[in-house]
Amino acid sequence: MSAKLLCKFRFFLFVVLTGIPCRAFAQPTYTVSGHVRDARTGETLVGASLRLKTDATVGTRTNNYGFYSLTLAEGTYVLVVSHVGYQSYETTISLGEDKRVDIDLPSGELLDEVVISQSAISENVRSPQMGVARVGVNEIKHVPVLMGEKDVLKTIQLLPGVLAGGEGSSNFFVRGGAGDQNLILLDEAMVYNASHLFGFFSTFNSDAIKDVNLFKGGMPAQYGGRLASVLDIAMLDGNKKRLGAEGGVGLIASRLKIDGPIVKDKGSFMVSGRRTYADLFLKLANDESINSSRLYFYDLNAKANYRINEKNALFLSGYFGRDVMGYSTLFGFDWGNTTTTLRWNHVLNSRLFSNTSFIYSNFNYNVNIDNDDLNFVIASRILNYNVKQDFQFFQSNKSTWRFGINLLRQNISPANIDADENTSVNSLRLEQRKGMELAGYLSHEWKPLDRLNLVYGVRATNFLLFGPGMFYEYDAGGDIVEGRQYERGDVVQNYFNLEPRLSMSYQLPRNNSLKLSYNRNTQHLHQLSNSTSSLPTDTWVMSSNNIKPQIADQAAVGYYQNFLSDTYEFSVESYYKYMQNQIDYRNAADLQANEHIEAELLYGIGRAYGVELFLKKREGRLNGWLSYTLSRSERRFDDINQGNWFTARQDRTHDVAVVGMYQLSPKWNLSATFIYSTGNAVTFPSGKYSVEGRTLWYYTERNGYRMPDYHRLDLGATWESSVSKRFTSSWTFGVYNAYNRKNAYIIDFRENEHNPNVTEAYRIALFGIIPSVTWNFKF
Amino acid sequence: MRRYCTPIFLIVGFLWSSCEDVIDINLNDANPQLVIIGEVSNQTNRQQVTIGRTVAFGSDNPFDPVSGADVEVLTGSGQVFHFDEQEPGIYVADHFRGRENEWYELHVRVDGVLFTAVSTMPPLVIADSIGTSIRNLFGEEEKLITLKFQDPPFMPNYYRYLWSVNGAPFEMVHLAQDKFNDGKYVSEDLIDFDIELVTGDSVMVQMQCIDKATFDFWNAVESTNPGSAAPANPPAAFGIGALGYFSACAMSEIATVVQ
Repeated sequence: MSAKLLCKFRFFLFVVLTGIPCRAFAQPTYTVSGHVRDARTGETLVGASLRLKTDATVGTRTNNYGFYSLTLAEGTYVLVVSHVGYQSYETTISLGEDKRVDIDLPSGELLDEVVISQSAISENVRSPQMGVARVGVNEIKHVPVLMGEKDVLKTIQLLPGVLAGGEGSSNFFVRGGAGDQNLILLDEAMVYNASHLFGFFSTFNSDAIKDVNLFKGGMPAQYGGRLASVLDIAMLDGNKKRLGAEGGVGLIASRLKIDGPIVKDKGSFMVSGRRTYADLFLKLANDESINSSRLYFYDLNAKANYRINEKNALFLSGYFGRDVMGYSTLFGFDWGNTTTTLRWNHVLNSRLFSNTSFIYSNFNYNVNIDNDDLNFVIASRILNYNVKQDFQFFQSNKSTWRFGINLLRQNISPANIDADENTSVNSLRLEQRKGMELAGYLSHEWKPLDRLNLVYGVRATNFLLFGPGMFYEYDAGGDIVEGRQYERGDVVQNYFNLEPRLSMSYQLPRNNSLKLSYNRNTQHLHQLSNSTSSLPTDTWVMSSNNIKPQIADQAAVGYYQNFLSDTYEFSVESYYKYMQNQIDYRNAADLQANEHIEAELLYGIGRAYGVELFLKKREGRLNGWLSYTLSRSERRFDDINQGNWFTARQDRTHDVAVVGMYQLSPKWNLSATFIYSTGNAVTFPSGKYSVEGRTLWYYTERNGYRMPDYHRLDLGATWESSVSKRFTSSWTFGVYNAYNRKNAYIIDFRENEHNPNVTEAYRIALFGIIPSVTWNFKF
Repeated sequence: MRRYCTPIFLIVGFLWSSCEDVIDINLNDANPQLVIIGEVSNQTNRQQVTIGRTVAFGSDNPFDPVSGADVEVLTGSGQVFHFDEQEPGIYVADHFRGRENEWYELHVRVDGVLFTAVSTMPPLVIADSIGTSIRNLFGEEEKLITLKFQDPPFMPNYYRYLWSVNGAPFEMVHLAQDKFNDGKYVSEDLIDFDIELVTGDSVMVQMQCIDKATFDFWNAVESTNPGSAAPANPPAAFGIGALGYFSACAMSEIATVVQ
């Protein structure tokens, strides 16, 4: 170790041990703070970079509300402000006092080629954060998808470490985790069911989305509650400068967004809606039971914000979505999410930023059956009230603190049946369950050395399950040991967990870095499903006297490099994850309307590990990325597979995605994605036997077989035409599954039609080649 | 509950016309496993136990009989009934009739290893009416058989329905329990989408009142569908080492002609 390095190391130790922050030199310092916004729309920019022109290692990023704060010694500086998709902007600041400087960045859309400043694009190398992926709205716009419905959840499935939930599904699995281990946030509100129509479309209308971040590991301490990932989606605030509209007409849905100022440069609103119209075709049918049937979904996103003064701003946002289906008057089924978020940004001083959020989220479903002798309604609801207080303290340009508290009230009303007196079904009431999650967190982003960046912190979570109600204890066989009645307010169970988080980067010469992270996450809300598809009727349960919180420990290392003047971005990450208190089910478990549902559960452990490669070209007429994941995900339960490790269903050894976008001419943009992955692990029979002349399958091992490999090519093309300067329109053409590959959706077994003694395997492929066309407009 | 999901799948299937083809799959050949199916009913003097082994998936005959087993049924009232092998793998006792609420224990000894299972015959529930009903499903009229009966209140009941259409062998058509309609006057629809009933068909329905273990076995079989995340063998009454069940069932038969 060189003497200089040793000296720096000693200084580092000294700082750590004494807790003395980095302001060791007594030159007067001042703070420049403010917001970075889009010059054209006034929309605040999240994650924009601000760096000194003379020394790019000194700088900061805007937070989720576009606020920045940078503390520097007295002097005059040239500040370079940049953000992906925008022209970079230089401004000179003389610091002799604390200053407020708001910066409006001109959009890069005006240029043929998007110019991105050096400092913005090296952010991925420099930042201590790893296991994070940011998806640009522009990428979502061009990636071809099923039926032309551009979809953020399907775009993130093309990233390394993220596996698609199945053909056409918006469900996803991150680093070997299950679908319910993803925390999906829309403007901070938890979205319980992020899909429409049994998973084929996501609930996120991309017109209304501003920014998408996916954390696969090294989650910052302000996030908690799920094991595998955090998908943080922010809605657009709305144009502060002028009224505008955009929308589109597609094969299955139409969209319309209107946004504009409430008071110019002070406040704005945004309303965005989408509705499908498959049911309109049903109306054309002659048959009364068909033309009175219903089948549609809609989404409505709405947001308003108002900047009261330089120090205070309010944001109110909401999401309302619903799926409705029904057959004649005999059967009705509808489900949907509602979320509401009220936020108050308060700049306490130029270095201390506060945000207070009040959040409500609700998911419910209803089933109506109305037959001659059957007449009943099934209803279920899950909701939460959530209060968050978050502080960011920009102590110096080397040190930022983040701390806060979070109080979440969770209610679950399991499926209840309300039946008429004279119908042949009994009413059924299952008890509501009430829980509360109290969390506090502290994290510190710190730059002890020029080359070393780290974020470390801890999240403390206390989960309480409350009465009233009857709570049972079950033995290993699932039989009741004892039941106990609790009164309102009684604490049935309490779990306290500390979740340490660490993420660091060490910059090597020539624009590359090594990164390291460790995180522990816990989960108190569990979704129970023993089918391969996620249904709205899947039951939710909280941690309880029987169900222990799921816990995951994940460690990861990574290497990041940008090359060819930052045109290319490369990263490789490797992770190992150990999971405790994982949930599976007894054979033929009854997971619906079952008072003793917890008796049907089995508990085990899991492990997942893998390597993820990512190469991205971000500039030029041809851009896109290549992602490759080599991974394994396994589980072990005493009562499954003779207690041996078995591969999880979503274990796919190889997963490849290639995404390419090409600007053919100013009017034409072409795109293509290719996906290849090993088939899911699956349980097939290894024999058969006969009962009453009927052939039954004999299974020997859980997930011992593989579905066939999956691959698919999707193509897209967008043709932009500007009718006038104010009105632009575009046509998007897409082809899903361009070479009509029959990917197996299901493989099942049956008796041969002609000779029942002979058995055969058959395959069901869901989507062949599917073309799509969408017309979009904007003014 | 599962039944109410059926319309959902019908609608989804209606939306996406999927394509289906037969494929070749290389499946392992597991070690043969013993399969014991025993039934004692109140209907006849002839009780039967079938003993076989699992076979390879590609085998042409799913029944591989096991001969030379010792089979007997013990009752709660202390009687012992011996079964004789009538055909390979088929063991019959034709000298006793099962009784409601009686406790039975099946003993099967194969190659010196004893397998046992118990079953208590539930009380008999008899349908008081049977008839034809018509449902309109996506513009097509389907005929189905409807049974009506009074479910006994304050106790769990499990039902298994088999039918024989125009003298064909009996086959299971429906499985039910009273989890959601305990004590109600129940109307049960029987339909097999592979068999289209037409006016004049004669249908004989066998309504079996079965115990929970037998219900669990058949329910596991019925609920394993292509969408199951983890298909597995149905719970075995004989513990580790043998598949199958032992059912003491109270049954009645009721006939109708499709209108």
